[in-house]
Amino acid sequence: MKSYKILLMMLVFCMACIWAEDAYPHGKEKHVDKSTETVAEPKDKGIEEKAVALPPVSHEGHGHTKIVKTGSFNAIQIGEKQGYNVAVVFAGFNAVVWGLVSFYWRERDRDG
Amino acid sequence: MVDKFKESLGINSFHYQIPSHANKIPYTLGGITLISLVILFISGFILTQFYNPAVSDANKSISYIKDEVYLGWFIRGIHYWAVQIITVTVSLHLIRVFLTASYKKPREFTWLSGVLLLSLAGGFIFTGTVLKWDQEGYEALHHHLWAMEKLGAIGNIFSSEFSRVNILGRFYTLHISILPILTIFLLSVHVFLIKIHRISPLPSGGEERMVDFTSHIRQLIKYGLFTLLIISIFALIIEPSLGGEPVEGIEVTKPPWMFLWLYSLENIWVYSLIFAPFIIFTPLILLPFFDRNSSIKLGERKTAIAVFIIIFLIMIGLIINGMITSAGHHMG
Repeated sequence: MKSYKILLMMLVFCMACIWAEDAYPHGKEKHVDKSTETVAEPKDKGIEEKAVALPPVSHEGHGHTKIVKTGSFNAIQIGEKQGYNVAVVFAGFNAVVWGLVSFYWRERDRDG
Repeated sequence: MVDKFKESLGINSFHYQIPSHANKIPYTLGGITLISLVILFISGFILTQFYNPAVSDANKSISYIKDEVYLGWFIRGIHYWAVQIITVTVSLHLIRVFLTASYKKPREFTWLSGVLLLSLAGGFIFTGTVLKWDQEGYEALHHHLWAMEKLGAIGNIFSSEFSRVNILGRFYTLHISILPILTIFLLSVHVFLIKIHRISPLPSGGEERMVDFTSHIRQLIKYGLFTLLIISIFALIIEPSLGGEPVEGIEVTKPPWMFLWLYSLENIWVYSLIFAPFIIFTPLILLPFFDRNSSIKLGERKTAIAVFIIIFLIMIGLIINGMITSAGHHMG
């Protein structure tokens, strides 16, 4: 078997292991104190707040301001999201496959 | 064994000759768009498992996807960034087709199906924005309903009064069912016509080396993997925006960047919201039927190229204008 095929299969296997470890951490029957587990970030992360005066039609108590939450882009802090490491491995895996495929097909495409 | 499968599945029919320039990046933009569309469909299919189009829960269900669902934030990021990539590749594809005069006889209907696909892409982005059901989505819907009301009987089918089902649910149906079906149909027509009329020649002309079509597929796989990589990296680094529950009766947001040209026109004259899409799409649809110049050489199409450059610069100017102006109130 060609070496790149072996490498690809190893990559797929490694990624599956990392995903399984991340998605099913209790499979090993580890007793983890739930209070120390990683929790998701607060839901309003990435939300920008704007104070606007509401028109009478939409708000009975007109004349004062209300906070409107509008979206804004949020730079993700590495590791704060659930399964971040798996996503990084996925991107890395994709980069390696792309590199391998480009390298392997380089000769064939040069010949047309 | 493999050869038998190749024969049974008709894979051998892919071995036909195409000009070598088909493997250059400008001629693979359509293919890259197609691959991005596949990524979009797969990520969208996963998101539908967790999204709820009920008005009371739509925004919350997206918060749930990005904060609670395992890798939900990543899938949502991939879905969002695939749309951005598609917008760029589709625009570049259109520019390339125009500059190389690939819309001319006998490829008029290939162009026409492409323009219709472009309008469907706009529909996808618009309905997707509304489905977020945050302030941006709500305001987008409000603008849509205003335009439909002004259109009278024509706009009635797209108004909230047409059906007792809430309009968010109907937009969801459009986004995940009607638009994808239309897209797949038009895409099939588009690809079929490309196969029939073959890759358009280079405007510079001359004899060209021919290559096997399978080399084009390999090239698309390479570019497709690279596109997925770029989308993944963006999804890892930047999370798409999501606001809180919308507040009625106010306008404090701007549309996504690909609609900013329309937003700028709306700032000048609010009825542009209705007329501008027609003004843009009608000439695009009619272009191959009105442009009777048979030459495909750039130097012999000076008028067409000049008009195109002017329109292109106006669009870029309007988008930049939309970026730098602050959000304003348009609807009555």
